[in-house]
Amino acid sequence: MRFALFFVLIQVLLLPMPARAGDVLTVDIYGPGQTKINVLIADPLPREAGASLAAVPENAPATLQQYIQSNCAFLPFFSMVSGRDVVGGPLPGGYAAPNIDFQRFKLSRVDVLVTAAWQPRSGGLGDVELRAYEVFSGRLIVGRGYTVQTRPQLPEVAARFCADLMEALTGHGDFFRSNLAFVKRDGQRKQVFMSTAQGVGVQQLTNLNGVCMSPSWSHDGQKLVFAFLDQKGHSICEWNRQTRELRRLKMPGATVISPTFTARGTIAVTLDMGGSPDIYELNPDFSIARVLEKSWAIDVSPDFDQAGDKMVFVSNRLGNPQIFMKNLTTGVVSRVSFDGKYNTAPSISPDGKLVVYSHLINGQHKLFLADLASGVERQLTFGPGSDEDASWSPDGYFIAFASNRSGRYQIYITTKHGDEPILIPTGPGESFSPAWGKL
Amino acid sequence: MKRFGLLGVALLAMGLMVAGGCAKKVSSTPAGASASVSTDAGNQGGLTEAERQKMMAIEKIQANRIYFAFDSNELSQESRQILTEKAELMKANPSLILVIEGHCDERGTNEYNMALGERRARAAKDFLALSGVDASRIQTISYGEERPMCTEHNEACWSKNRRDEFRAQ
Repeated sequence: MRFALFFVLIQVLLLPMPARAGDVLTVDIYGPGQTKINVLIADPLPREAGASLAAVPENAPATLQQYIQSNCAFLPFFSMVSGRDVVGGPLPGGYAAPNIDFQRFKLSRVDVLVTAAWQPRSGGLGDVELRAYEVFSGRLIVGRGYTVQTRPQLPEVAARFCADLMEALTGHGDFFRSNLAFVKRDGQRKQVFMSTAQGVGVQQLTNLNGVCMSPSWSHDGQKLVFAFLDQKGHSICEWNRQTRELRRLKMPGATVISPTFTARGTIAVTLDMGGSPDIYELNPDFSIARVLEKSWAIDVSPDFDQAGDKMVFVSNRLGNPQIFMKNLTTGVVSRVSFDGKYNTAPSISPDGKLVVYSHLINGQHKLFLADLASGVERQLTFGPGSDEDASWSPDGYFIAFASNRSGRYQIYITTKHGDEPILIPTGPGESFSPAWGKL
Repeated sequence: MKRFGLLGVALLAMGLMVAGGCAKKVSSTPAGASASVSTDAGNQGGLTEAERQKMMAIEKIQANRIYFAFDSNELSQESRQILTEKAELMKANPSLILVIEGHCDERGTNEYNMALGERRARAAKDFLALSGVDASRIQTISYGEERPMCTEHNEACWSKNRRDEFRAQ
């Protein structure tokens, strides 16, 4: 709805050129290996022949081009091509087929060409048409038109277009339709922030005199729950995105750890009511509904698959912290991590097939991935520093985590394939505990 | 320096308790020993004897931390000894309420450390309760790795952070 206030969406501008099914460019992001697609974001052009882009205010065409370029750089299956590498120069000859000289881009090994055509509009920045073509066949993959009123709308236009492009190629565009909540250090305090998954629009959500910990989004992206610690002790907080109201409650016992939303929309949390930290499910009024997992040992950090069949959690019931999975239908608990003596902070993929967690090696945490079907565990992240608090994206492809590989804790993303981590810019200061949610 | 001062007061108090069996007999202790007590008392003008005794007990209870091994909430022999002394002070001062803070080093992950900190605080609470202190007088709070005493990244520093602290009031 918000978007509708800003933009008029003009649907597909041109019909796709006929192409045989085998010719259609697609990327299987869940497959065992990934195809690299060479992408060129062409310089923007005026929509009317002979017009000048200078008539579009605030340098909007170049700014939008940069946002699209930055967005595409987050996708590990994209390899960005510079216009300088194109035979005969970077200008495509036109912004739409049949005026585009695809042959030159084909010779330069470009797979996908993105064009932008601008027309100034009084009272706003202008109208822009964005197209992505499959160079080999000349097929239009995505064509969209937007009316842009103000400069702050440009990143949202870029995200919308990139979501559609990613969806057309992979079947999933949620990365550009999702956000991250995270915790930032504020002196001795820690506050909750959020931004898009690309780190755009960072905003502070809390200003509490204490330490906010472990944020978690509801599945509809409307509520955020987190633990809070101050001089008076632990409490649980729920932030409503629509009203921006914060609800804070003391819970039975002395400790509130790792609250998270279940697939049913209820909250699961670790409390120590019985003398040891156990996992409980709460009613909507935050009263205790039932015990989800209880033992003599520590049971903490629950996370749920989308179907609500599986709960992964950490327990030291065998002497040191390991990852376990509880089948919520049968009640059977099975061990997930076997390698190493310190495995914590699990996150289960939305489809319930994979679990990512932090594995302590030589004093540093690295992300490991366990395949629940095969039982195989493999290392996902390498390099300096500690990688902690992994969180799956809603599409089950990306994984956000906190790492101090640069010297201070910041948020990075990788993929289920272990692609090179990319920094999500969250501003100055340390950032921790990313939690993925819907935009 | 402060720790030595507190230790001195604690040793003195233990000596007094052994010698006299009752903290109220401070005035009958040797002059050398009573000098340090009377100095403290001198800074607390207007306090009754009972209030002075309570303040001394608070100081002694808060003086000594206990420390833990990595990923452990087991009480060492030294910790048990320290807790035994605290238990006696708590029993001798039934109006005191004790808050035990559990802390961890930075190496674990945050959520697990928060649970481990609670287990550490709980271990001390259980010991004091078994030693005869009413459990309702003891509260626990875990700070996980949020309040390190030492911020260097080495074992010497981490070992100081894996601790229970005691706040009496």
